[in-house]
Amino acid sequence: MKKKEKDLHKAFEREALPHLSSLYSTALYLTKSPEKAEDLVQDAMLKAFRFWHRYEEGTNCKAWLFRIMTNTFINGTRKKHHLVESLDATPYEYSGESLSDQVSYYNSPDETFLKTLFPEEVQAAINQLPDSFRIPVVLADLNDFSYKEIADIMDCPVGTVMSRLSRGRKRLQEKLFSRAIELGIIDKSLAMNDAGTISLESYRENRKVSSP
Amino acid sequence: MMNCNDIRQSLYVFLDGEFDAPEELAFLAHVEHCGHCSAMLYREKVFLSAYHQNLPIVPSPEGLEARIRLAIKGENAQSPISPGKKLWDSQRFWGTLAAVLMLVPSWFIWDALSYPPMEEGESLAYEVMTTHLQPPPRERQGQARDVQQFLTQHVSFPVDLPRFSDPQVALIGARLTEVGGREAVLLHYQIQGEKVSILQMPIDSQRRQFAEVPRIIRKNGYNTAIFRRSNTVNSVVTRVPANLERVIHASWKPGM
Repeated sequence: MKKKEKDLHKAFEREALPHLSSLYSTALYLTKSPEKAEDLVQDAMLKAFRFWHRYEEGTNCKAWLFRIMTNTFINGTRKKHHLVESLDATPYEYSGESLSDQVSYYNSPDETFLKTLFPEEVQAAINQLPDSFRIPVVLADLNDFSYKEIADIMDCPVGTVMSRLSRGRKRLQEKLFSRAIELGIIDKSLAMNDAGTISLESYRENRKVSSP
Repeated sequence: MMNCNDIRQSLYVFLDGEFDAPEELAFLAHVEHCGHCSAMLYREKVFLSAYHQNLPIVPSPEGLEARIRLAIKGENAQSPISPGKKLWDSQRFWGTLAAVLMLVPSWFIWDALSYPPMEEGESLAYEVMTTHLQPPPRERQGQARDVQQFLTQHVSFPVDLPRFSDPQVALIGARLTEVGGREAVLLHYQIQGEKVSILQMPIDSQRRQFAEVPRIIRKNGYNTAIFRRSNTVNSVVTRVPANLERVIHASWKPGM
């Protein structure tokens, strides 16, 4: 290999390879399969190497690599599936918080089930999110990217990132809450409203603590 | 001043540390005096904390790095861009250009040089269209005020930034560019996934020929509207005629 090519390989290995673990961990959430995650990371790294000339040395290599991997994943998903993801708001997202200055929460009722969260449950809940929500959630919460970096990676406005991140996290709360009821961590009767519907909102309402 | 609805909508913006200082102060000023919002903030903080603590990070499997090193060994990579280095600094660029010119028949070059110059408007439409096809600079993506600040700092003429009350129209970036060697600004907007660009230049005596009434030029599947407004010439380009109409309506005000 010529010296120049050796230098390029060294530069790529020095700047890009350290991000391999982050890329794989994220790829696992995107693809939900260890084998597909490996393929995705490998494809992304190969592309990154081929287009190394487009990367400006000293700039945000991690974000650049994630952009390549996210695009590779999205393009691959579009080719294989033509399902329309439902991004319709769930009833919880639509519900307005009841405004009350007479009640304050001294102990968050959510702490009861949140303290008993297991990593497997969290991973499963994230995997159930639609791609449009799961991607920004994983980029923000697993990789600490800023909204602007996520917008750059996903090639969408910052406002879209904010909206999808917020809705994705709210859906996560719902899913983890439902799982806590299934596991018996939360008594079902505490999460029921007068009509017999189980919801996180009803649970919070039922567990309100009066202010002193 | 923020109200309870603003707080509810921006809880994660605050918790993610994405607020500017003034916005954060406004947020905290409300939360400090509102028991309901204070409780809501605490609840979301608890959720984020617990969820982050239990978010599994899976290390890459053994052998993946070795496989990637092997795969790239056989690949050819080009040099990454160095800061300040332009495309035309590259020997490869000049070599490729020379090769192309040698292959182009001389009669074609003569014919092109002899072709009557395009009308001023068509020439401008062509430049705007080709620039529109370039991706916007990523570092300039952001909200309108970030773009305005960038333009104030880097552009010598007062940029007239079109403002839209339509929530479906989003400013996604701005680029400094040149048209015919003269300073210009390219503003990128997005309307329902479609890109709309506005090229804006200061007016000089040579460009007084542009009328205030928008002139539409259709070329290669793109629609370009050129009009004079106040002290600038504006060229709006998009593939979708409906978007052109929407942008012109917002940015063009007759008699100004």
